[in-house]
Amino acid sequence: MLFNSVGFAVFFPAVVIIYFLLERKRGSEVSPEAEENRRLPAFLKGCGLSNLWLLVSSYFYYMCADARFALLLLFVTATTYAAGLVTGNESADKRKKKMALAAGTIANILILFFFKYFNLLAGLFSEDPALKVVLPVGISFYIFQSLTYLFDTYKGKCPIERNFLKYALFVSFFPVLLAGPIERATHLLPQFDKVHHFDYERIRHGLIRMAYGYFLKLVIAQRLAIAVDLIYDNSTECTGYQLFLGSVLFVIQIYCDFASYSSIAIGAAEVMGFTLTENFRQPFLAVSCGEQWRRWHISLNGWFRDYVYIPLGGSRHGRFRKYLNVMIVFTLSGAWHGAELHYLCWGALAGFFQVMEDILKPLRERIVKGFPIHNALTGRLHHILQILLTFFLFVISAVFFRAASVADGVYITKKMWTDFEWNSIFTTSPFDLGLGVFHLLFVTAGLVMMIIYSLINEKKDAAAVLLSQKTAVRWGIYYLVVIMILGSTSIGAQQFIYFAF
Amino acid sequence: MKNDYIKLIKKFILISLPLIAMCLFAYLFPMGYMTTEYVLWTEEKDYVNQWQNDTQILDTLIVGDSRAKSSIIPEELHDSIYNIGIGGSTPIEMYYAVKNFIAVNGAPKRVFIIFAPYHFINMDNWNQTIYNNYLKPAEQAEVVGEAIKTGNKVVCYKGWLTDAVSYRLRLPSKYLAQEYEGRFIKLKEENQKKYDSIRADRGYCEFGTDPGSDAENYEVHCEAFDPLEIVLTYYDKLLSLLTENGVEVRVFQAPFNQSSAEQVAPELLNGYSDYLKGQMKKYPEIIFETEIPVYDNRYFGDGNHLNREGARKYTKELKEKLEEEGFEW
Repeated sequence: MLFNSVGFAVFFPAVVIIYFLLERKRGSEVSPEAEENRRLPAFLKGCGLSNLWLLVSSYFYYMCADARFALLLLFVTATTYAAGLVTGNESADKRKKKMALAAGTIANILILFFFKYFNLLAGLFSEDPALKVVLPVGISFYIFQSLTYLFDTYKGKCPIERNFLKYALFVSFFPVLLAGPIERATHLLPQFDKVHHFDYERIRHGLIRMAYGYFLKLVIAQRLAIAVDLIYDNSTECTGYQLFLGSVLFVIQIYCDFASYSSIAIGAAEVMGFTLTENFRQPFLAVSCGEQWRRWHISLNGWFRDYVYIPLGGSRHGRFRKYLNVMIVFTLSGAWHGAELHYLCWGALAGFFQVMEDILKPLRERIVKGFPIHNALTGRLHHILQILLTFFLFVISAVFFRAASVADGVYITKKMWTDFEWNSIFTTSPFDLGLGVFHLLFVTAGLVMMIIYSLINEKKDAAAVLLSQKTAVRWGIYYLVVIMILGSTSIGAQQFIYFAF
Repeated sequence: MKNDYIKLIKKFILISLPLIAMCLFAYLFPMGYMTTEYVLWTEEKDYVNQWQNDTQILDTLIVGDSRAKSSIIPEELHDSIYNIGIGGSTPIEMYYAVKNFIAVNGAPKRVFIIFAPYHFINMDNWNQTIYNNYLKPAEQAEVVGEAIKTGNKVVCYKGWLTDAVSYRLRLPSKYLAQEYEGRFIKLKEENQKKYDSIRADRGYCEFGTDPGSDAENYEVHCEAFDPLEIVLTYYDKLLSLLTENGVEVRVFQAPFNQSSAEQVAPELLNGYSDYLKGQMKKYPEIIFETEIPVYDNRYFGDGNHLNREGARKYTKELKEKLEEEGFEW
């Protein structure tokens, strides 16, 4: 069941309505915990009917994708829950805690490794392996999410969650289950203890976040996918300029695709009263590669920073170690995305750009200082130049993300430089990109609206700004967005790119 | 709190207005943007579901798929005939067509049935049945029930329910592409003309217009006669419905072109013939033709369908054959 499917349009309101009815009951009781403890069977105590409802809904949601893997989800939940009982136990001795941490982590990483890399490894030994493993949707996300619980209980940052059902809900919470944001146990788990009332303003804000997500996916990402696929599938016939254009469009496509999922997830959770981690903060406004990664897929990059980079020593042991750690983290991030080598290359290249940026920082600063004119205009131009350069480097690395193989990535990158053909800038018609007049009109208007939203969001909460507008303006925008979304449904629901990870 | 609920519901309705408007447009003006295929389905659906003042005269129905539709020209066979065949249909759609006709107009005097063997094996046009909202919800539910029983994945594929609801509600995700394609109302005149011409031709419609075709028909690509259980069930239901209502039934075969006849697998022809012979035993009151005639390629508008000249030839031969038998109209 995709967020952009008719099924979800029925599922989500049904879940929300029943959730609020149960929450209302929970909230109206003088002492909710005590009341529930009296009424509910033992295994439900401390969880609450509303949370139980969310848990059942989340498993139903997951089983709509592939029922078989619900057992895997349960297994991951059970192993991390059991290990967490030891890692978070203050009275347990350190060795035991370490053992539990190692066991829980290794078991889950092995599961992830098996599902992600088995086919690759089997392919090395046989051209047609007898066993082919299907990648369970969302596995990378929920395993990483449950590992945050293990790590944080071990460090003492997060108390043990003894209620298995509540913990299971943390692992399987449906808005984040399939493609994140990867939530921390310290952030999400306590929210299940609170009573979430029906709050009109909050629901309205959440729905606007959801609508923005649908807008990004349906109006922009799905259309750009047509052009990007056309260019990448015919890379040998394209000029360097067309390949560059295709790569730029791909970067915008993947942003709109993934940010849309995150936005819908955050909005859906907000409707029910939950606050999720922001996953994107206008990444194309970053002025450096480092900043770019602090704005892009924030929950994953934060995960790697806190649980890999810092434990490896971070920047505490000299420059060489820092750069090595950066490279390790980015290469691992590439590996997390998939078993193919081109993902590793993408990760390594992104890491390399960040290392180079750090090495060249003093030189850049000297050039800027030595520039003869310093005023507001040059400052602004410098800022724009930094944004463009950062974006350009991101595009170059993204070629390896999109390409079918490393060889393809090398070929496309090389062709961009050696076969650019400046005149093709003027001879390439937008209609050569496989988009008709309607699509071009929609995607152009969509991009303009996205840029405006992003620029506002950089300084304020764009959804709140929209809500503060006069009724006529607000409703004008609502209708424009709704019509553009509806006008884009004819393309057909495409899966979100990050479901593949 | 209660006010907030009401406010939210009100705003939800307001925000849904464009969606409602789009669905209503798709529902109310299909002739403006839908393809010719839709016109064929609609003309037939209208015919069987409306009271026909002329049933006293038009008391013979031709039932079947596109080969039935394109093989018999009613006005050249007899004054009493209307062709309610539909391109791509199987006995499923035709069972409900006949059932609805009987419910509205009473049983016809006689029915001629023509189905290509291919439509016993394949239901690749089922999506058109759903897309054109040909069946009523209750009828569709009945087919689904049968599909569940027979394990048919064409009807009960993953997500069939969502699709069924989406098509019924005329959601933009299903119809907007066609609305763009047809520029919303641009096809209205053209579609209306087609509708009127089919009505004037008493349901006859040409599918292929080439002056000859050596293209292979669908059956060439089938290795054997391996019918779908759900189709057999409905074929049986169709024959039972007709015989129970005292309708005189005859089963004919539409011709193959020479090129296809030379290539089609004997296993398919034998299997099909055996199946029909089995039906003959079950329904002794029905006259079955089991041999598939072969015509020269020049009589075909495409690999599967007779062109007008071919239809004339087939109709003429059928007329002569019936006259020889002393068939009473």
